[in-house]
Amino acid sequence: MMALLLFLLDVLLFFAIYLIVNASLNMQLGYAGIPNFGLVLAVTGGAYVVGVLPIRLGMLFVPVDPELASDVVKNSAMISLAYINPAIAREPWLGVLIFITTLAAAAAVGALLGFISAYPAIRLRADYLAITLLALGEILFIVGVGYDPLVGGPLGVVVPDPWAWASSREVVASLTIIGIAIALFLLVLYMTRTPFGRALKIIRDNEIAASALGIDVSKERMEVMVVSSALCGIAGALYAFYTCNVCPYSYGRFEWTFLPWLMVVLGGAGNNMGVLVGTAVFVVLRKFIIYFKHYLEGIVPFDVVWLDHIFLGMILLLILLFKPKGLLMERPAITTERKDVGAFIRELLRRRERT
Amino acid sequence: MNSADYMLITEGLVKRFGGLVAVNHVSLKVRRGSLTLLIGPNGSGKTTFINTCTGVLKPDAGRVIFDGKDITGWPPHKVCKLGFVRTFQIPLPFHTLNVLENVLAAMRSPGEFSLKALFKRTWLKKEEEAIERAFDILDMVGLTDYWDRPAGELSSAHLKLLEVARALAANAKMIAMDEPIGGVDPAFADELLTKIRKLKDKHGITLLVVEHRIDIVLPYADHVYVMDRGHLIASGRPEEVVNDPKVVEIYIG
Repeated sequence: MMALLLFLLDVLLFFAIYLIVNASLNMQLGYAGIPNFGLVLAVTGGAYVVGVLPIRLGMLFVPVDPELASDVVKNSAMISLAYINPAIAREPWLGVLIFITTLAAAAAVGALLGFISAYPAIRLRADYLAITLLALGEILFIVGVGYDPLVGGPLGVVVPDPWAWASSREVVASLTIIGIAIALFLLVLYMTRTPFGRALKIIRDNEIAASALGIDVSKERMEVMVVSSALCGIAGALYAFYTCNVCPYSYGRFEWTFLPWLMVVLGGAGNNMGVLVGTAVFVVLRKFIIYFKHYLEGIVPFDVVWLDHIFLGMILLLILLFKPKGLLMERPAITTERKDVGAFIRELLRRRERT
Repeated sequence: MNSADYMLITEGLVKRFGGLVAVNHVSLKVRRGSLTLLIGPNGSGKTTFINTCTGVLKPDAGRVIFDGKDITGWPPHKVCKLGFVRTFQIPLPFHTLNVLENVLAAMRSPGEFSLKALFKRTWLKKEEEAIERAFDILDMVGLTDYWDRPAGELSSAHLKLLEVARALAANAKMIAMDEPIGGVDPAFADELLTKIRKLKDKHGITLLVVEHRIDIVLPYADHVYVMDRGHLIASGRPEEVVNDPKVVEIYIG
């Protein structure tokens, strides 16, 4: 029973974190038409914040052996596990403080990285932009691996556990992250139905007409990069907190750029519900393969570790061949369908009919 | 005549594409409140001229003065904010949005700033005012019944009207219309031009209309300029221009 619960929570957790990243990609790709192949950049940025900030925040409140404290990065495991986690277990408020402060910082770093990505995004288009962003996305990985003082190089660092106080840590952590993901997804739903969302769709539908009608295309493109990268930063931070360590190899383009693209294309770009469906279908299928692939050992004529990759490639091919617009058709959220605006329009039409 | 009488003045405007001089030292003036016609055969540089005036393309030489301001090389969204709006030869609707939202697209809202979008009290009131105004504009052009249709489903004639509606919504002082009757059947073309002329008089808008079907448009014009291969070759009242031997030559050969 407990094993099943943990399996479900694990699926839900991945669903939650990818939901944030995918909603962010959908805002850029589906709404603003920016092919962000460097999604991993802001996710990594957020995760690195978790590698740097919480342990130092904790040391402000918890006295640590000065010899250990002289090299925080190298001794991160000792400091986190022997000093800060027990302190959080005694005083949960410290965990909450670290968690919230770090998330805010991760969002800020994500936003900053989005701002940097916007520099090519307002100058280049389509393939050229995609290639540039793909390259940009690699930068933090290279820095993280090559520069040990940041997050410990290839070995990574251990991070204090903000849920160290909870008796069933996995459950509380998963539920917190799921709650945050739902809130952020609702935020994206809301944003896409405001004049901001409208401006994005206008630019995507026709950039020249948009600017001829007075829209500052560069500014709107920059804003969407900043907002959605902040979301990616939060997602990266949540994943790092959940795993309690930050290692540059966990933040590769495969997990945090290609998989989100696959899920958004699977669900249907430009449709928020499509993102929900695409993420759910994908995460569940993938988890099933990971958990149960060893049953196929000897049945399939290759090593089962490749099932995962074969499966992903097949999904992409099938979708592009048979349902290039995704499982759900594009259905842009529009302002006039909002409850408040819709009611206003109906009232206005009634009033006009009378006169 | 005083230069304040003119809404748009270009001085020696040049636009080159590689070796081709698409617009070659074009100097013209559009009087306030007039319907000025710019005609010329295909490839004579009319559309390039409009693009260069409204900032879609940057001129290689010359000046563009709109409403007394030098707007040479300004980006399109700034030109639009001054009240100089253009429509397109092939209508460019925002396909996925409905007709009403297409009109709203031309009105700026504080909610387009992402941080303000989060707080709907900063933009909802404005949005409602914009919607009221948008319906008034849809009434004027006669598209009210189609307000909730996706713009991608409109007929080509309706799309032309939508272009006009968006220009009106952008608070245009002057509209540069690129072939407003291109791709529209002749019977409807007259109706469209009458409507446009009426809107112009009612709102005191200046119109610069680019066309090559002079037979249909000429009666509606106050002043006509003729372009051929990048040059301005004739200018004057409609009846003068059609009798100009140079114009007769390029049109009839």
